[in-house]
Amino acid sequence: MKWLLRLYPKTWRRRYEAEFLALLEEESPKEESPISLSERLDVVRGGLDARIHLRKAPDAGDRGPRHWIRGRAAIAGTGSMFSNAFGGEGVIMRRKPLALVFLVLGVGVGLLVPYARQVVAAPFSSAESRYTGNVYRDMIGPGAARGIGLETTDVVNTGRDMPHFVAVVTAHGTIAPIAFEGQRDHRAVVLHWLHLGHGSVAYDLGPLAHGQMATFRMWYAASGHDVTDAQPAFYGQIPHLGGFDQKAAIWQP
Amino acid sequence: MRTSGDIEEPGAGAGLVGMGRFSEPAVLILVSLASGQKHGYLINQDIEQFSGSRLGPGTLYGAIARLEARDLIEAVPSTGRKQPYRITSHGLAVLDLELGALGRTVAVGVERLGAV
Repeated sequence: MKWLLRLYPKTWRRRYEAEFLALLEEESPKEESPISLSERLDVVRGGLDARIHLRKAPDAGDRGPRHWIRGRAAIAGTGSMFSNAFGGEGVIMRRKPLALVFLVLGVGVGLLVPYARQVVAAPFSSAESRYTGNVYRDMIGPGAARGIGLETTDVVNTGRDMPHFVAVVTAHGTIAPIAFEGQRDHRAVVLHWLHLGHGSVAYDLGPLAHGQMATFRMWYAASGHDVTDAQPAFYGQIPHLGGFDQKAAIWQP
Repeated sequence: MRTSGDIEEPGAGAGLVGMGRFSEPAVLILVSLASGQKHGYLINQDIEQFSGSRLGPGTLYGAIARLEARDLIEAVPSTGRKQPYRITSHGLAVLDLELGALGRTVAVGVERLGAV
């Protein structure tokens, strides 16, 4: 069976091969009961899938054209959702050229005009940064789900430190991301999840150097009307595998 | 936070959106891990017990890799070959939403079946 794992990319094998083989050994502990043909085919299919869809992630930072496209796709998805809410059905799916239109209409118009019942705070301000942005609460998305949109544009770090730029959303109930896009100096960047405790989630745009500009837009679904707060924030050093308790490290100018 | 050994997939960080054929296995895995940390074999055994079906090895690890890339589950430090996983707080939130949606579908289905 081990030879089948050669179908999987090296990165995948480094991470999962040992436990995958342990699973196969437990699934078929005896030579006389090898795994079935359908399971072998499943392994082959999984290998092909891993080659096509999973890949090694680059370090946080600029990610090249594929990620630029991916970021646009996420926003186009947001546009599609809003377009569905308007009454159109699957416009993005049927007419791909319209994706760019809905990037603008869905996110721009969708966020700014019909769904934003209440603009909570704009613009943001900070002693060590200048930026503009808006938080939209109580937006109605697909399926009448209520959610929250968070958009900041042209955030510039004018400080000398390199804080992480993080978008934090807090809710009493459950909350989940729908779509997002992040850029640093107009180039798409990796967005990492941060778990800040129950009901509080965030995207980490990574460290923002002096003079660097960042932009992000995201849309969350939340249960009920429970979103209590949404704001961008600068955090201090955030170890990549840190996770909790990073609120204590909020960067103070 | 990425804990998936630097493996990433498109759409990571967006709940179960875009997981395609791995969406259902992903929900089953999240349900299994909601009762405590487990390694691959135990996850599959648990899934078989509560759902009556067993995931193929490729499907199981395809879903695990995606869930880990999206920070919905995380590996628990272990010295053995069997790698246990646990659900994250974000994973619990996503599972809650997914089960809520499924629950509504089930309720409507049962109601409509009753009307037939």
